[in-house]
Amino acid sequence: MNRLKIYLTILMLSLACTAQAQRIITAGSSSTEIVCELGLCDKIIATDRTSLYPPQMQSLPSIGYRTSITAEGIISLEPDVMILEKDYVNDVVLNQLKNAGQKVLVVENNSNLEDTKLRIRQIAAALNKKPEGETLIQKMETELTSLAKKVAQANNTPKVLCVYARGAGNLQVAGNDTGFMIIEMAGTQNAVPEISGYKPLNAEALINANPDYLLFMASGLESLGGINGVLKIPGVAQTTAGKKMQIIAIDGVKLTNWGPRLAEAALEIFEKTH
Amino acid sequence: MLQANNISYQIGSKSILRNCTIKLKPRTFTAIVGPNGAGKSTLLKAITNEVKLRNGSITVNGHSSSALDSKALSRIRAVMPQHTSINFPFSIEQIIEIGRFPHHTSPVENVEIIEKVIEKTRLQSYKGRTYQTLSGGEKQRVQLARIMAQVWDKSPHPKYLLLDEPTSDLDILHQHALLGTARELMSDNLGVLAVLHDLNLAAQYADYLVFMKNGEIVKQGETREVFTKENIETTFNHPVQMLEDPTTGQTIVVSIPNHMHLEPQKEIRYA
Amino acid sequence: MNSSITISKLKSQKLTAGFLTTAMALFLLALFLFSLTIGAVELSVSEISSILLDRLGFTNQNFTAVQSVVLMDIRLPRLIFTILIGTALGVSGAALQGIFRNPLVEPGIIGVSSGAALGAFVVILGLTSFIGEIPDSLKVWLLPPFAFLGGVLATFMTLRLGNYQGKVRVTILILAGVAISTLANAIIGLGIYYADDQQLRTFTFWTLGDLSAGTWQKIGIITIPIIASTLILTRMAKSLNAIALGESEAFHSGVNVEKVKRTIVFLSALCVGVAVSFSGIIGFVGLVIPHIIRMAFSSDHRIVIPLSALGGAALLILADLFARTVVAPSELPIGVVTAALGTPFFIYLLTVAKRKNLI
Repeated sequence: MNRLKIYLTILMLSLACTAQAQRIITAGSSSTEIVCELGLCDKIIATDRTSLYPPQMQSLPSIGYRTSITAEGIISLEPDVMILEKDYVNDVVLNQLKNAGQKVLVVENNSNLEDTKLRIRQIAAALNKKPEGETLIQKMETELTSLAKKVAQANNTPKVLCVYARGAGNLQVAGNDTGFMIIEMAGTQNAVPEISGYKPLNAEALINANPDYLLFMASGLESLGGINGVLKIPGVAQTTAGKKMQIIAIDGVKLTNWGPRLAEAALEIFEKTH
Repeated sequence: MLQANNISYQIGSKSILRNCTIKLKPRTFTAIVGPNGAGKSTLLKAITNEVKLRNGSITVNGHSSSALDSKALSRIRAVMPQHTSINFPFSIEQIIEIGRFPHHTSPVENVEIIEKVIEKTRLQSYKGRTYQTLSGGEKQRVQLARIMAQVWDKSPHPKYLLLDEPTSDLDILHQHALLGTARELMSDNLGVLAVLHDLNLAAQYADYLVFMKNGEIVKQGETREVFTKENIETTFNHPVQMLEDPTTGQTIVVSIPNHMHLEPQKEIRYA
Repeated sequence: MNSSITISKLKSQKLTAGFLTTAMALFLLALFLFSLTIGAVELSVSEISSILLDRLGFTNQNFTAVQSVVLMDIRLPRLIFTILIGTALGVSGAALQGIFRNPLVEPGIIGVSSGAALGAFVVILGLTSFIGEIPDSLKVWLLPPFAFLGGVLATFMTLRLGNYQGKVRVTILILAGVAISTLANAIIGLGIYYADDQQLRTFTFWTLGDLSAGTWQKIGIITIPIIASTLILTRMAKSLNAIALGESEAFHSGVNVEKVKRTIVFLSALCVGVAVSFSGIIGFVGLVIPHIIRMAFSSDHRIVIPLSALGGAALLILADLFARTVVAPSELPIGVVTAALGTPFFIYLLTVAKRKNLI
C-alpha cells in the first residue's frame, strides 16, 4: 500500500514535470508579468509589443501588436502554451491556433482587481504553479491592505486628471473605464468622472475640472517635454495642479496594466499625492 | 433620308436652335455654313441625338431616331467630332477598329476593312503610331478613317456621315483629300452632312448649302442657287465679292477687308 | 490586297491578348505555389504535396498535424483570399480608369473606398452601439453588403457631382471625390469619438488592411461577387475602348454609354466593397496595376482588364509575402506595404501626367 502511494506520488510528480510548460508565449503585459512572478520568466520565448517589463522581455522575438498578431508566426515558434489577454488577438487567429492543436489560455483584463486575481489563478493553474499563484495574490492583498490603511488615515482625496499623451498634439483624458482608474485605490478621485474611455483634452473643460494633480505615463510626460512642456498646454496653468506644479508621472505599463505590480503603482500614486 | 423636323433646343432660357428643318438625302453632300456661334455644331449634335430637343423630331430612314438604340443608329450613321482627345496611349489601328464595334463582321473582315480605310486616308506610314503623338490634322484623318470603317459595309438602306468641321486642322492637300474621300463614299448610297468654315470649300464639295445665323436656318438650297453674294453678306454681316474661277468656271467668294471697303457708303451692321 | 498578311497580323493580335492573359495566369499560379512554401512555419514542397494528397484521399502521413493545419487553415485560405482581393482591386481600378477616361482614377480617389469604409464602420460601430453586440458569425455576413452599399452610394454621388450636362469633368470629379471621401471620413471620425476602445481598435486595424483574417467562410462569401464582376467587366472591354474616345464618340459607335457607366460603377463598387469589407482598405493596387499593364503591353481594354485582375492578385501576393516575412513572427499591415510601394509610383505618374497634359 505504501509502495503504491510512493509510486503514485512519483507518477504524479513526473506528470507534473512533463506538464510543466517549457516554451511560453504571452500577449498582454499584465499576463507576461504574472508569468514572471510565478517564476517562469525564462520560459517565455516570445511576447507581444506591450510587454516591456521585466526589461529582458524587450529582447525576445516579438509576435507583434494586438490584431497584427498572426497564427503562423506563433505556431512557428512551437510554444507549449500561450497566454493571451482577450482582445489582444483577433478571433480568426484564435480559432486557427486552436485548430492547430495549440494550447491557448485566454484571460480577461477589464482593469479591475477581481480580474487580476482571477487572471493570476488561471495562469497559475495552466502553468502548474497554483501555490505560487496563491502566494502572489496573498502578497498583493497584504500590500493593498496596508495601502488602504494609509488611505483611510489620509484626510483628503485629491482630484487627479489622468492624461494619455503621445506628443503635444495628441492628448487624451482618461475616463472611468480605463486602466488609469487604479488611482481610485490610491486615495484619489478622477477629476473627470463623467468621461468614459479616452477623450481629447479640452482646455476649458480642463480648467473647469480643476484637478489637483495631473497624472501621466512616464513616456507620455517625456513626449511633452517634461513638466515645463505640460505647463505650456493651454488651461494647465489655471488649474491647481498647474499652479502648484503638481504634475506626476509613473511608468506607463505598471500604471495601467493591472498586473502584479498594481499595489506598487497605487502606493506610488498615493505617496506622490499625499 | 435623315430628317430633322422643326427642331428647337435651349439651355435654360437661352434659345440655341429655333425651328430648324433639314433633310439629308443619300448620295448628296450638304454643308452647313454660318458665322461663329450660329449653332452649326449644335444643329449637328441635335441631329445626332446628343442633346435633348425642346421640340421637333428626327427621323432616320423613316424611323423616329428616339425609337432606335445607339447600336442601330451607329450602323446607319457615323459622326466625326471636332476634336477627340484620348488619355490612354492607343495605336491608330486600335482607334480605327472602334468603328467596327457596331458590326458583326468577322475579325478577319474587320482587319481587312481597317487596312483599306488606312490606305484611303493615306495613313499607311502611321501604322502602329500612338494617337496621342499625332498632330491635329493627323488625328482628324485617323478619325475619318474610323468613321469610314463604321459605314464601310454594303447595306440596302442609306447611310449617313456627319462631320463637324472636319477640315479645321488640315492643310489644303488634306482638306481636299478628306472631302474628296467623303464624296467618293457617297456612291455607296450614303449622304454627307458637314459643318464647314471655308465657304469656297463648301461650295466646291456640297450639292446643297444650309446657311445658319443666330440659331436659325436663314437659307438653304442647291449650292448653285443659294451660293450668292446676298445670302453670304446677310448671313455673315460682311461684304464679299463673287468671282469666277477662270480655270474651273466655278463661282468663288472673296471677303473684303474692313479697311478696303469698295462701297464705303454702305453701312455694315453687326448683329 | 495581301490578305495573308492581314490575317497573320490579326492572328498575332488575337494571340497577344490570349497569350498575355495565359502567361499572366501562369505567372500568378507560380507565384501562388511559391508563396505557399513561404512562411514562419517550415513547410517543404513535398510536405505540402503530401498534405494536399492526403486531403484528396491518398493517405501518406509524411507531415505533422500542425503543418496540415498551417497549410489548410492558415496559409491556403489567406493566399486565396489575397488573390480574390487583389483581383477585385486590380479589375475595378482598370474599369474605373476606363469609364472615367482618366489614368489617375483609383477606387480611393472617387470615394468607393471611403464609402465602403463608412459602410463597414456602420456595422463595426454603429449597429453594435444601437442594437447591441453583433455576433461575429452575423457580422461576417453584414459587412460586405454594407460596405458595398456605402461604396456604391459614394461613387454615384461623386459621379453626379462630377457630371455637367452629360459630360464628366475630371477636375470636378476628383474634387467631388475628395469632398465625398472627406464627408465619409468625417462621419467615421465622429463615430470614433464615441467608440469604445475595442471598437476603435477593430476599426483602426481595419483601415490599415489585413489579409490574415482570410478564412474559408469569407472566401465563400466574396468569391462569387468578385469573380462574376471580373468576368462581366472583362466583357465590357470593347465598350471601354470606345469610351476612351469620349462619351459622344462612344455613343455614335453604338455603345450605350449610360448603361455601361452604371454597370461599371456598380460592379466596381461591388468588387471593392466586398473586398474591402473583409480586408480593410488596401491602397494603390487599383491605381498602379492598370498603369503597369498599359506601359508594359497595351491600352486595349481587352488586355488591360483581364491582366489587371490577374496582376492585382500577383502584386498583392508579393506585397503580402513581404508583409508577413520581413518582421516574422509578427507582420506588417498590408495597407502600409502597398501604400509604401505605391506612393512613389503615384508621384512618378503625376509628374509624367503633368508633362503629357493629362490633367
